[in-house]
Amino acid sequence: MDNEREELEQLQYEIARRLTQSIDESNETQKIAYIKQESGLMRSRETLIRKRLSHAKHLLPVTVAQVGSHFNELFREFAERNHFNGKDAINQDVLRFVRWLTIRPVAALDGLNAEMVVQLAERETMHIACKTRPFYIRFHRFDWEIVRQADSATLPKKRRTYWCVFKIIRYQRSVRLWPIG
Amino acid sequence: MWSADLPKLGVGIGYRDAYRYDVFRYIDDIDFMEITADHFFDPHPKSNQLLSLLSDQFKLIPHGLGLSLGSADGLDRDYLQKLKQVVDTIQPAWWSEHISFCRVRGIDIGHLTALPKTRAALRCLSENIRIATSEIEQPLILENVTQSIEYKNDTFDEASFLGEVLDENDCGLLLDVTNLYINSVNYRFDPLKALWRLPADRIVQLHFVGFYREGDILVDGHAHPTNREIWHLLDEVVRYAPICGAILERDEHLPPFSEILREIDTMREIIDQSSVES
Repeated sequence: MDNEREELEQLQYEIARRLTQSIDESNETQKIAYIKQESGLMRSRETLIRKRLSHAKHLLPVTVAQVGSHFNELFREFAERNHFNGKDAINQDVLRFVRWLTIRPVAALDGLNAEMVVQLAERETMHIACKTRPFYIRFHRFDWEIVRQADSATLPKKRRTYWCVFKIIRYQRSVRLWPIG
Repeated sequence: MWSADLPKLGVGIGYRDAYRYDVFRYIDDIDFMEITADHFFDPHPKSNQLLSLLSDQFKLIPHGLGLSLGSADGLDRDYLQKLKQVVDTIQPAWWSEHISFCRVRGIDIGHLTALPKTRAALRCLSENIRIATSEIEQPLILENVTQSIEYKNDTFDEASFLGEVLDENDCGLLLDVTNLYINSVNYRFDPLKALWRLPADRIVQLHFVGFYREGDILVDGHAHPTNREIWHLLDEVVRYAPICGAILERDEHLPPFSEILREIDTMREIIDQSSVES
C-alpha cells in the first residue's frame, strides 16, 4: 500500500514539475513512464500558460492596450522560461512578469517605449503588490489618496497638515486590522 | 438516495466579479449561484461583505478549486480549514470539489489534473475525502474533470472510475456535462453509454458551458456559448437523472448578461420539458 502511494506521489510530482518548470529545465527531464503520450503533457502545459496569459491580460488591461499584439509573445516568452508555483500563484506570476519586463533587454520591445510599458505594468499591478509587499507601498498608495482628499477639501495649509497627520495615524491603526486589497 | 434528499435549486451561474451588478439587477432570473470558495479565503472586509450580501440574496453553493483531493501526499489542512470557514458561513445545501490533483510536494500546478484511474489513486482519493468530509459536515459532491493526460496503467474507464469513487465514499456527483462530452470525443467513447453507467440518483448538480476545437482535440475553455452537442447531452442527462441544480460555468470572454440569461432560460426549458414528460 505504501509503495503504491509513493509511486503515485512520484508520478504526480513528475507531472507537476513538467507542467510548471521552465522549458529549459523541462527539456532536461526524462519521459514519464506511466504517461501514454507526451502530447497530453504538452497540451496541459499549454492550457496552463493560456490561463496565466489570460490572468495577466485581465490584470494589465492598459499595458495590453499599449503593447498590442506583442503582449502575447512577451508573456509567452516569460511563461516558457520561468517556473510557476506557489500560493496565490496566479497573482504572483503577473508580478514576476512585470519584474521580468524590467530586466529584459530593451531591444526586445521593438518600436515601443520600453520604459513607459514597464511603468504602466508596475502601476497596474500596484494593488497586488500592496497585498504582498511591506507596509511602505500601502502607505505610499494611501499617501497619494489623502493628498488628493486634502486638495479637494480645500483646507487652509495649516489645517491640511494636521488633517493629513490625523488620517495617517488613523490609517496606521486600521492597517493592523486588515490589509488594503 | 442523494438527489432525492437534497433541495431542488434550479438553474444559475457561477458568480463572476464582472457580473456583480447584473446578478442583483436580474436577481429574479437566477435561481441559485455557485461561488468559488477560494476567492473568499482572504478575510478582507470587502470580500466578507460581498459574501454576506450574496448569501443574503441568493442560495449559494461553494465550489472548491484547490483542495486537491487526489494528492497522494495528503490534504493541505490549512486550505481545508479555510474552506470549512466559507462553508460554515454560507450553510449551503452541499459543497463541491474536483476528482483531480493540483498540488503535490509543495508544487502548486494551478491547474486541475486528472488522476490515473487505478486502485491506488482511488485509495488516496478516498482517504482525503474521508478527512475532508469529517471536517465539513455538509454533503460533498465531486466533479469529473477533462483529461488531457492519458495514463498507461489505468484499470478503470471514465464511468466505472466515477462510479467507484461515488460508491466508496458515499458522495454525490457534480456532472460537468461539457467535460464528459470533451473526454468522450478526445478518447473516443460514447458519452451516452458512459452516462447510463453512472448512478442516476447520485447526480446532484450539472455544469455546462461551451468548448472549442483545436485540431482533433476539444478544449474546455469556459469561454464559449454552450454548443449544440452539449445542449443535446444536457437533454439526455436531465431525462436520465433527477438533478437538483445546473450551473452555467463561463469564465472567459464574458458576454453581455442577456446572453447568460438566455442560456439559463434554455437550460430551464430543458429541465421543465423533461419533468413534463416524466
